[in-house]
Amino acid sequence: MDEVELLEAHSPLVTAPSPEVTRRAREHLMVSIYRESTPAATAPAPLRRRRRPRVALALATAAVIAGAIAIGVVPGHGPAHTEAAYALDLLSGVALHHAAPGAGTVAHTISIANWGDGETKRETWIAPNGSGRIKETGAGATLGDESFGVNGLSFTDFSAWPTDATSVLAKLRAEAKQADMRPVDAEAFVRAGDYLRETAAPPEVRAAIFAAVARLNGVRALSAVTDHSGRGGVGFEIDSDADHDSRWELIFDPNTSVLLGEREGSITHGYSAWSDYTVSELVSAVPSA
Amino acid sequence: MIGQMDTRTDAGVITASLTAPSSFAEIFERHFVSIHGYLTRRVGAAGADDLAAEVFRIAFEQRSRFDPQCDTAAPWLFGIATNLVARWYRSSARRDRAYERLISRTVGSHDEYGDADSRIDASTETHRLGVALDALADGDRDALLLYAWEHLKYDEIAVALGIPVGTVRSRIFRARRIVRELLEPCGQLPGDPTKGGGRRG
Repeated sequence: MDEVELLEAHSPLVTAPSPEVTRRAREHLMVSIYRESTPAATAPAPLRRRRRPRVALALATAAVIAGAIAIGVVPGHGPAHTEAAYALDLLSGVALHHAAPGAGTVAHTISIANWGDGETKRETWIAPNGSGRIKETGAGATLGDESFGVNGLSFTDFSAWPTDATSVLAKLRAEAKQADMRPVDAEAFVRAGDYLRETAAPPEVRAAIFAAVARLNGVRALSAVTDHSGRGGVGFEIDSDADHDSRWELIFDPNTSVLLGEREGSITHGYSAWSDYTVSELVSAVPSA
Repeated sequence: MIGQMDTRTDAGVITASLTAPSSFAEIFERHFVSIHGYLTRRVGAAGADDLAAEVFRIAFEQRSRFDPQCDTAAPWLFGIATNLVARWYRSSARRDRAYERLISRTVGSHDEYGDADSRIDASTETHRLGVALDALADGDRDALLLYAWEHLKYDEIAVALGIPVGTVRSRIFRARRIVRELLEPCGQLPGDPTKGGGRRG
């Protein structure tokens, strides 16, 4: 054995970097990429100073998400790692580092929607104990305005949720199967949207949901997508029936990971139903009706 | 072809990243694991994480200096990593018997050293090898380890270290001779304080 072979045999043992190490290193790079992409944005904003690192990181990732989809470069280690999966993994990082706007524990959401029965506006306040209020207006008239006591609303208790992608993926699929919905991954995709809408899911859970969606089969990324109101975002869709004509779409703000819109449509008939979430924030209390 | 960039090659991706910076993320995905592995071998697991992240930040900021004639960015990235290794070891506390400690971690983990006698032999050999690596001049050690541990070719090492291929050849030749001499059973171990040997470079 010569000295080079001996050196090879005594090469220090190395294990692959952990996903956490890889994620942190990727973000370290993205901050630089973002700074160069938008130099003006690094100018100090006095009121937000304390939050800047978090914002910069989220935006950096946003630039990368948009870039990855726009130029069709799909980083990854194999063909299974699709463009959508990559963008969703990045969005998962944004979710982890970006708490919902506002302060408090009550999820306050305003949306406009049309699911086939005319355009309606819906405003909800949902507290962690299941109390809340739902107000709906349509065609200029109040359709309903009702307050609910503790456990009065169907709500999700996220305190016992797993925060890893594998467990959340299993949970979404199990729920889809239990509901006997097919295709299972399409239903899991729609359910992921359910848990991201009108909820106060903590950042770790939201991050795990995005990472779980990244692992669903059949999710596609949509480039340059806008919601019904014309707001740009990063979109994903999945075939929601077996004949590939009907699809479900979710659109997120790449800067915050907040759900902007969702819609259902078909290739042959266009969009048949849509919702836009114009306000998604946390507030301290449910206002009385 | 004008206006067409082959994003299958690193050169194509880096050229694209000059106008679309976010595409540089692809370089990270392609090379992070190997650069992280190299840095783990050179400085140990504790220091490698931060250095590996820093390699890609520096590479992004210096990407206009990348020679688009090189298809792969690996040698360029190994070069940036090697500079960070040098900076890391500038602290004398980290330098002291660094490779002796680093490569001693492999002993006992390799299956071929099954029985106790051969483990002891291997242990002595590893010790001598570590001492020999510590004794090399920095530039000689960089060239030798890029060759023996990372399996870079001479011309790739030349790119990584920014030196002519002829210099790579002479550095590796010299490094191998020194290591060979120090591995001889009667060789004087420069790490032994009573012998007054010294570290070079």
